[in-house]
Amino acid sequence: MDRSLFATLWAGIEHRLRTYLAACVMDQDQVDDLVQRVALACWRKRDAFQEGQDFLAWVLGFARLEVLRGRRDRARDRHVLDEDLLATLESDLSALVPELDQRHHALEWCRAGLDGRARDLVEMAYGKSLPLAAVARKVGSSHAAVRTALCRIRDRLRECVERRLAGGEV
Amino acid sequence: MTHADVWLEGWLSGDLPASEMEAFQTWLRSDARNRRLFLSAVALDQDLRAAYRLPRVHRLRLWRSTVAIAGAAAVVLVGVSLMLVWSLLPTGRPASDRVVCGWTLSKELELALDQRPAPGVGAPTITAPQGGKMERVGSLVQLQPGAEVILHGSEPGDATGVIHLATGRSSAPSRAGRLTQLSVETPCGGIVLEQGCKVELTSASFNAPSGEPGQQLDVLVLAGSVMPPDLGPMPVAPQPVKAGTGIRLTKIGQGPVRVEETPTP
Repeated sequence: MDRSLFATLWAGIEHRLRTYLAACVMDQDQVDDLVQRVALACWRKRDAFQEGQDFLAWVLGFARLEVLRGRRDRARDRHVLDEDLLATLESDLSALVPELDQRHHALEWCRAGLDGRARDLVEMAYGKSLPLAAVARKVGSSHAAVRTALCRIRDRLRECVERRLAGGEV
Repeated sequence: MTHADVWLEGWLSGDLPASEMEAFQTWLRSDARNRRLFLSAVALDQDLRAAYRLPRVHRLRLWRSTVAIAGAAAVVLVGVSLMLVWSLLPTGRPASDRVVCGWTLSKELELALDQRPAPGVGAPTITAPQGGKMERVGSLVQLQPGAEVILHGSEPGDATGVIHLATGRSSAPSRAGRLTQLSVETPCGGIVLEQGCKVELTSASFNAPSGEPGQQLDVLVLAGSVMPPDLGPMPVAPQPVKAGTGIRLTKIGQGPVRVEETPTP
């Protein structure tokens, strides 16, 4: 597989790879590192990829191995799912991708409906990747209050997404 | 609020107690609908992360365009003389035998919304354009836009650390004790270069070497300035660094790294 084909295929699946990894390990920094390790592993083995194969499924296989490898390296970190769940989620995710893509599109619309404070919180937590404690300092609130506010924002967005999907507006 | 809500919120907030992991996993195993709920929640979280990454590219592009337009007039006025002077100056660039991985960050940013660049493999250096500066960002040594560095060492394992280009974000350390890779992160996500790739970048950050204190990463700064990262949070004026200066980053604790000049290789 040449560079441009790999790049094209990779661009198409990286987002869902992140979803899988974020479901396997709790720490977002670990997710970032794992994405990079999986990319490197796939790049090295790119010639083993068969034309017509499901690229996401192929990449998720590497991802599971990398998560397991990381799990062995961080034996004391319990925030990694067990091996059987990694495999189950791998197949669950593959089946769920079309729906997740629809949800992704619906979210774009729902995001626009966030009010100013919610948008600010999301921008800080997601756009600037600030830790909750830093967000709390910036908005003059407590860590717990910010955490709860972000949870509620995610709930609102999820409900909005589900309403749009139910209404066939995506 | 149900147990499931608590688990999902804890997972997404990054503070699910380890003592809850067993029950959480039992819940996931028990029903495909639970896993679907979990994956949907994680996907929404990741969608948000992606959504707020992309506008950075737009802003950067807008900024770049504005600067380009404003600068164009000045460039026209001084262009000829500048080019004459430029042609006479040494560039400070590395020897030409170093391999370019096939793309530059400026090009990548233009393409970022459509297509991400591919990972590449190259020779044992990593370089970036001249100019810019290095400064402390938390436990990071951050290279500001235009900074130029070479990481030398012919094989993974020579040193420890992760390089993030473009976003300057921190990351979890690589596997303890060894540099397994250099990482390049675009505004849209991460790609990987093996140690040794030459890339052009707008900024880069080096997080403290993982593993044991005492581990080191040698960096050759081709131009720019260094703000020692072990001087605490007080603002410290960046110290100019001559082209070709080598610096050695040594881990001295969990986060801090000591910066010291090394002989130019």
